[in-house]
Amino acid sequence: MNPRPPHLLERFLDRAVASSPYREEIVGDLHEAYAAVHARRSAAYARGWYALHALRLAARYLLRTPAVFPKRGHSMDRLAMDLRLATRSLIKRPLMTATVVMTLALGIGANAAIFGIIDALVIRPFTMRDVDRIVMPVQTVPNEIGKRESVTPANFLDWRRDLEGKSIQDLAAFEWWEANLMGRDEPEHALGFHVSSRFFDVMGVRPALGRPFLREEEILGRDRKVMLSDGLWRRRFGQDPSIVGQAVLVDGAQSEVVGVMPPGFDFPMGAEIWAPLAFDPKTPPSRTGTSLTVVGRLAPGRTVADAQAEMAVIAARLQRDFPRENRDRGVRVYTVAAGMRDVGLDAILSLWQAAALFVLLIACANIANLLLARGAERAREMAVRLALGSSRGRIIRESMLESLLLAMAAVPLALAAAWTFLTVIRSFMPARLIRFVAGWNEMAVDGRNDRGDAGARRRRGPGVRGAAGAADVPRPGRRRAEVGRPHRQRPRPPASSPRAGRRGNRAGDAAARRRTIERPQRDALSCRLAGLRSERRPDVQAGASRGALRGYREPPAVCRRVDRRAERRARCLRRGAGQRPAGGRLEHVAPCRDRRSADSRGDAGAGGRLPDCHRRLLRGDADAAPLGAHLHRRRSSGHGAGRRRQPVDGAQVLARGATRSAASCGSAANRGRPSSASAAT
Amino acid sequence: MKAEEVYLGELEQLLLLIVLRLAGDAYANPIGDELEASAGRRIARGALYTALERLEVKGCLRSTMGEPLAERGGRARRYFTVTPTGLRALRNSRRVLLGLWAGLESKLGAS
Repeated sequence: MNPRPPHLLERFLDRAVASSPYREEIVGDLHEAYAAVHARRSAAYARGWYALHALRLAARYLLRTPAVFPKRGHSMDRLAMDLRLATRSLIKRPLMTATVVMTLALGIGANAAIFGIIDALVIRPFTMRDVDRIVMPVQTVPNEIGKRESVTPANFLDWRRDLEGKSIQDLAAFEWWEANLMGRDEPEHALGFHVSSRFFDVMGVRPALGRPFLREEEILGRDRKVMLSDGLWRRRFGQDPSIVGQAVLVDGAQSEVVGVMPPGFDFPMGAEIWAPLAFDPKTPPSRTGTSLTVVGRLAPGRTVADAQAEMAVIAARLQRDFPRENRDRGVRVYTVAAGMRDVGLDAILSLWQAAALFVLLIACANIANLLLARGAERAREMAVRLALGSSRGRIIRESMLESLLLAMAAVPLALAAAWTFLTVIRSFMPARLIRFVAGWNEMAVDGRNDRGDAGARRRRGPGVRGAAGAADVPRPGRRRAEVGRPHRQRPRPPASSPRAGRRGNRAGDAAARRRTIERPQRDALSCRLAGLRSERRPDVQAGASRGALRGYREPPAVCRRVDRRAERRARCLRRGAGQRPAGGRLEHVAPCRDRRSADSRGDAGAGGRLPDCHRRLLRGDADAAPLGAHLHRRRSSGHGAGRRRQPVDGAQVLARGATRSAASCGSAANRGRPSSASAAT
Repeated sequence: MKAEEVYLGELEQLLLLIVLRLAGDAYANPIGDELEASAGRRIARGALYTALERLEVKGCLRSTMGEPLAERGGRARRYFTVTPTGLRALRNSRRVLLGLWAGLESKLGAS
């Protein structure tokens, strides 16, 4: 039995060489040669040999440029041709191409990696819902500019009381807690935080199981409650769904589990367990011990500046009421991302990014050198092409396409390089420290293109997703849908419905976009487009139907068809009026479009200046002369008489000696040759 | 009416001569092998098909299909033969080359 080459490769080759008249022979010859190679060498060698030759043949025929091209082909054909030429030109110099692509990939990859770090650590270190709405008020230290300080419990309670219902709708505090879990299994040390009652509301996260902490649980004695993180629940409690309500031994005392947080939520600093922040009602809270970190959620429509202004007033009052504890102590409001960030991290990462940019600049300079050297090498080729009639623009376009192809080839490699860089950087951080660097685990090369929501939603668990989707911020697609609504009168689903939730996605956007351009708007758009082309569209000026205008496309074939129709009507009219125009030069008479538009606007006197046939056309009289008949009249010179009528464009009219005004009329000039056309036909 | 003059490139001359030499067994595989063996030129398969296609378009070659063969996966061979136009073009090339060679033996050597 004859050995058969790899079936898929053979099929691929068969498809690739489909443009060749020798398609069957090419595949058959290679099949036959494969059998000969197989007999002489090993099967593996023969398969490799076949793959090499099949791919080379496929590349040749797929990238083959036809020998003869239509001179005035479609612009996309020319672009495709230039793309093929550029690809072949790059393949011809594989070493140079590989060098440029690798250099570019490394430069872009380094930048992407550094930006990935900045994005994860500085721009979006947290993935909570509407993270930009979460603020962090901090106390400023006396006589130390820019230094932040934790908040005293008494000040926190004052802030919370004074800010209720103002610019910050929820204010919460948290405090470091080293929790010791006992019972069930071996004792375990877990990083925990004491948090005040509205902490999870401020974070915009609901427990996946159970409930959040209550305000009454902030009282000492009622605070033996804990909230577990998803990781701790899985690891220590075996994902027991009945854990809520059970008592666990924490720090030697029984505490009731009130809930389990959704996966991915570990704010702050990789917390695994949370307990209520309790205050003793019998003793006044401390005004000197700064132990709390305060976070808050801005009220709808309020900004960080609003919160800053209100906090300044409160801080001034506290200075006045408690001058000894709050002397020169102010309040500064940051976003949570800025507040939790280490001081100086921005500067360090900016330095990294600048270094990466310089690497990219150096890479670009090297590439420019390579391309310049290559340009000098190709000077002869360019000279030959110019001599053969290629335009400078064409050569420049091909050069640009080559550069574009090089850049496009570099992008996947750059992404791979960035991924490698980030993996290496991530591996340098000790695991026990990662929890303290917000966003470290989020460092990745990803395709996020919006701020916060999408990326956060992707990383959040399903428990968070539902809550986030219901309160989603209106998106552009939704707004566009609202613009179009008055014409549809379709009832809008409530914001909480699944349908409303889906609107935010891409398909929803596209649908909304389609809905947006309702009929009257589309008509207006079509009319505007038609107005731009109306110098070449007499039927537009003559009040052609809007449906016809919507169907109008640029290809000249359509224009010619329309022109011939208008011409026939003009010819009939002239015959009826006894006018037999002689061949002659065309002259543009007046910008009739303006007259018509003035008339349609109802300008006083404008309609009176309009020729009669124009008015008939505007009224829709079928036998009225087309606008072209009035746009042009002939002079009695013999220029062009007796020629076969051909569709001409403005440039051709100019070339034949017509006036510039006639040339501007484009295809209308075609209709200016009816006598010669009729003579020819 | 005088037939249009056909000019041949070097590779085209070689291919026409090889097709003449191979007589009835001139299809792409042996043509490529013979080109490598006799002229020492190893060309890509794609280039070979392109050259053969060009010669056929010029009228120097004519092709006929053989029978489908099992060793080719049920595909037929395309056999090439040199047309009178091809022969005339070859003769013309030979005449031109010999004319140019004449008198240059002292400079270029007899061989």
